[in-house]
Amino acid sequence: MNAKPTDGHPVELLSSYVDGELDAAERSSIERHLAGCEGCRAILTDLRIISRAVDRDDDVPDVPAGLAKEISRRIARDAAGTRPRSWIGSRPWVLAAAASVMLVAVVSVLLRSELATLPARKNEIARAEPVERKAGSERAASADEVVAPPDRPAGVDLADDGERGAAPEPDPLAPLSAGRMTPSTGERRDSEREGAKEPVEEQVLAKDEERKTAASKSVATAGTAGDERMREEFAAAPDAAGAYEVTRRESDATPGAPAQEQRRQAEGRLAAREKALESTATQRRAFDASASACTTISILPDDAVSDWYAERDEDVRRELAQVAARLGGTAHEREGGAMDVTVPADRWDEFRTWYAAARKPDGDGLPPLAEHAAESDACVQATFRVAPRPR
Amino acid sequence: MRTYLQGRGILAAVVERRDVESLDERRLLTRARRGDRDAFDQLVERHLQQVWRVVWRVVRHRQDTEDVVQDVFLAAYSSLGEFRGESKLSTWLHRIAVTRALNHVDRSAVKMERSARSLFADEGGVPRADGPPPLHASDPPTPLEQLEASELKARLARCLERLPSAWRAILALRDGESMPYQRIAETLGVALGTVRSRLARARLALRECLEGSTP
Repeated sequence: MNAKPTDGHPVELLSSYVDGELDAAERSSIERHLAGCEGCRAILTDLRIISRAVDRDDDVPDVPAGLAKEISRRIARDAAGTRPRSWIGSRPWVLAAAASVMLVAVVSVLLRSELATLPARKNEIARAEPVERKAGSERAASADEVVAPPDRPAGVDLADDGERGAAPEPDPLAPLSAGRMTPSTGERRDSEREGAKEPVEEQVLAKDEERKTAASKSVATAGTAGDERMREEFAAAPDAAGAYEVTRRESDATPGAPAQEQRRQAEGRLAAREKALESTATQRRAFDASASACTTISILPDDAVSDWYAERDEDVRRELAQVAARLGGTAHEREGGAMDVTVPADRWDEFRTWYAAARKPDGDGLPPLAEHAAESDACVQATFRVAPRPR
Repeated sequence: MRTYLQGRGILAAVVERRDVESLDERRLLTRARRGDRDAFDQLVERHLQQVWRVVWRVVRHRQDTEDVVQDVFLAAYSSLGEFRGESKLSTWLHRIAVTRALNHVDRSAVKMERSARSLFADEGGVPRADGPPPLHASDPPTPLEQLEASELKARLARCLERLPSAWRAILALRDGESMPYQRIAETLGVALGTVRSRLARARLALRECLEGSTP
């Protein structure tokens, strides 16, 4: 696919700039950028033209005369029920009696069919149970490798499982397994994940049951089943504040595409991200961000991040935290909905590779380290703008 | 986190009730809830123009717009009891309007070319579509800057009809009604980040279409 002229330009920031919807820091940042980027100035000019053109009221036809009165008449008509009264309408007891007879007939038919199928259904459930439990266990085993840190209030390190539970500190004198170095944040995370395995497994089993139920329901609008599955894949641990309540929002995957197509696209994106993550090195190494100088990169205008899960920003945050943790790094929420993802410098390219598969096709990619880093820097901290929290 | 968001919702409702809805409109609303149809008729008069504009920008067909707008107010009347006053009445009406308009577009088999032809009938005498003064005097004009206003308008009509209806809806609220992003988010029930990204993508898609780069 050929590169578009807008690739690499912060289009979302520019669009918000047109509307005066940037905060002071963002405005200052984009204005500095505009001073040196002719491409962005051209985009900004066009966005303003478009905004004004859409705004022109002379495109909209006038409200038809009499529409308000017609609305009033319809409301009055509906309220009064001014349809001509039939023989039945003038004798309501006839209608009530007929309705009762019908109700009894319908209920008896339903009861008969329920009773007839009951033995067959009981056998079906008995056969299905062992299979479902096994599938749930397998899923728990794989989910265990992708344990998602629970949601935390702003300011808490998302990838730090230190508050999870009663997992003991590793014995510093014990022989180290492959991939582990001296006890560190990475070591502590590994052992705490082990300690948290059982509750996670139960929750994943429960979610597996829920998913089967959800999957059997028909999808009324595009993307629902795919989004549901994605959410459950990554929600291996519950929200620390309680059950995570998802408000179903209109899927923004590819508006207008059929439901199945949108689900396929959502699942395709999920598969691409998983594949990219699996291809990264699996050995976790010690990393202590507090002791190292980090190159910082601001990924502020990142519309690809906020759109991954049909606007479910909590899932985006969780996934970023997972990825950071798997690469031996950390994720930290900041005020205003931004996230700092810090990874060891020598794993930045792996993060970029994963991100390249994860982002929407028209989203910006992450810059290579060479453009930013000093040789002595041990880590890279990327600040992502996930959707700002309401204030 | 949920507690925080719920708390914010309650606070926002208090603030909005105090400083947004006029006393007069609150009284009308109270009376309408009690079945006073005259009060509701007055509310219709106040909000009809805005609802009409929003619906039209999504549906882009005059007769269908009329039908949808009637449905919007009928729905509003029948569900007045469910309106808790936590948002502005106009926000609530906009939400119903956008939902009904999008549902209508999804169901409708009406060809959008009809609304395009009706736009051409209004052409003539419009000024050139000037952009803002260039930030750099040496910047060449963009392809859009070079379009005559009438050509821009015609292309815009065609391109808007090709946009997904959800994108037309958000353009209707932002560019049509000059609604702040936060109110758009409340109206559509989406996150603020979604408003930003969806608007950006809608405008970008329009830009590509207007430049003639989208087949």
